Amino acid sequence: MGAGFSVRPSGLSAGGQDMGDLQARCQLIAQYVVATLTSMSGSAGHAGLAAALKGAAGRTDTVYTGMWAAYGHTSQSLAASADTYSSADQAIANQIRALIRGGWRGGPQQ
Amino acid sequence: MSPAAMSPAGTSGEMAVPGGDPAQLQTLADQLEVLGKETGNLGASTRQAGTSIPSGADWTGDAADSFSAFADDLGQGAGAAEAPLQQMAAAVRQYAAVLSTAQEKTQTFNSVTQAAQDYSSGSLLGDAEMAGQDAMNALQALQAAGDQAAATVTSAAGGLGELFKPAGPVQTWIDKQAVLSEGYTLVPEEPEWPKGDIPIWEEPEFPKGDIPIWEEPQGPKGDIPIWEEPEFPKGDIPILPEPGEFPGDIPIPPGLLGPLINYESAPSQGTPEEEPPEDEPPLGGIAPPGTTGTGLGFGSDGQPAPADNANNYVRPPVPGDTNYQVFDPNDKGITITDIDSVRSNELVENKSFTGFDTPSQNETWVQNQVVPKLDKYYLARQYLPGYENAPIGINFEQGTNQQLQDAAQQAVASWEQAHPGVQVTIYSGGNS
Repeated sequence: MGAGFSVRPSGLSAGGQDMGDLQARCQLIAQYVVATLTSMSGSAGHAGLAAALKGAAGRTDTVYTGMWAAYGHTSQSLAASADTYSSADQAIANQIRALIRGGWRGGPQQ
Repeated sequence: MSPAAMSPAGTSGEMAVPGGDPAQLQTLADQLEVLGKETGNLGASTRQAGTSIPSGADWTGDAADSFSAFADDLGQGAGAAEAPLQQMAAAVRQYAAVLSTAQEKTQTFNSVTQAAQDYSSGSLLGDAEMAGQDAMNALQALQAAGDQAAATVTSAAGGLGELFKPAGPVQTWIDKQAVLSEGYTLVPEEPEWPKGDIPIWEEPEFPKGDIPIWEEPQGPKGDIPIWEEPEFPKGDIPILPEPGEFPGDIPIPPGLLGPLINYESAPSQGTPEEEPPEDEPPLGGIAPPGTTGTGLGFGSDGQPAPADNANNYVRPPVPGDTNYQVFDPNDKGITITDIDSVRSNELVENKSFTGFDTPSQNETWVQNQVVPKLDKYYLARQYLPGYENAPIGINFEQGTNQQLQDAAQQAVASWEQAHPGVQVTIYSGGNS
């Protein structure tokens, strides 16, 4: 735990990685769903159903792309926050060390 | 197949067997059902992460609440995609059964008709008439089933567009993303890349062999993008990898991600946000023409060149490859692993995690994230010419704390003991 904040940057960083993993799962699912629907379209043998499946593949692609982007949003945000907290924490720690080394010049006069 | 196109029952004409592949459709429906469950699991995992991440980081306040709300909305939306996918799977499965019957009935009719012609006594004419009527009925049922399935699929696909609450945080965020509103998709059917950020598809300098592809690579084919034929060969249906097999870092398309959740409450003394490199491929190594270092892994001279996302169905690994995919040689639908970095005599897995504060958490993380990777790299080596006996590296790109370093060293030592002759090296930070 850092000196200045209760937040643990390593926890946020790990969370960012977790969300990144979920994003990757989302992408993989999207790719397989689109491929599956497209293959179905090619195997249908019924023009109307084939068109519907092809349309569904496109719709799925669009929807999952938005979802995938949202996962990336959370992943990157957490990583950025982890960096921010970590840097701020370090800055405060450095200030404290500097104050101590400086003999508390700003403290009460003897 | 319209009944009007058939020959009358009991005459010398043959009835055309309706097209389509019911067995393939059944298998694909099973696959779609699995994918539906997988997206349901994704939603559940996401919602869980929405609470466990702030809790695990002792993170409270408006920013944490904002994150939790976003993750919960996202998880609900991902989970809600399961139902439409299941509906589509069920509709196709039902149609496939009717198709199978129709094909069977028409084939029966054709056989009986042929027999009736061969034995001109007329004794089989009654059977032929009956078979013809059965076939006619089956074809009518097929047409109706196809129409019904099409309506169900269309309706379910429409439901996919309503996964997120209209004014919820996820939909609100998505609506603000210009790249998404321009029609950017993960798996573009048409070559529609955002102009400006990425070279246009018609780029004439597209190097030979650098074909953007995410399935069924068949070797260099020149300059022709092959998005138009994304179908899998019959029987070669993709199988979802296990969760630990999902790819790692996925590049973000330029402009897609900006300052995201409202984290104003976070202190502002941090490092400036990093911009994604402009030449970064948009997705998982699927690079548009004109970019380099990605694709199938051949240079313009046709010789192997380091690439991102090359795989063992295309060529052996070469030093400099990144995210090299290793598929089961007998079934490309099965991914063994991806090699993050191929070096001259080493296969390296990259990890960006730096460590938990407690030893037990680090030990758990190592057992879940490192050891399974070692197993997969070990399994994959036999399929990688030149790397059958290569050492394995675990590269902690951003360094580790002492607890994670200890946990990793201990786990690797145990693993090496169980795998005599395999050398594993742990790298930390820039020390690789």
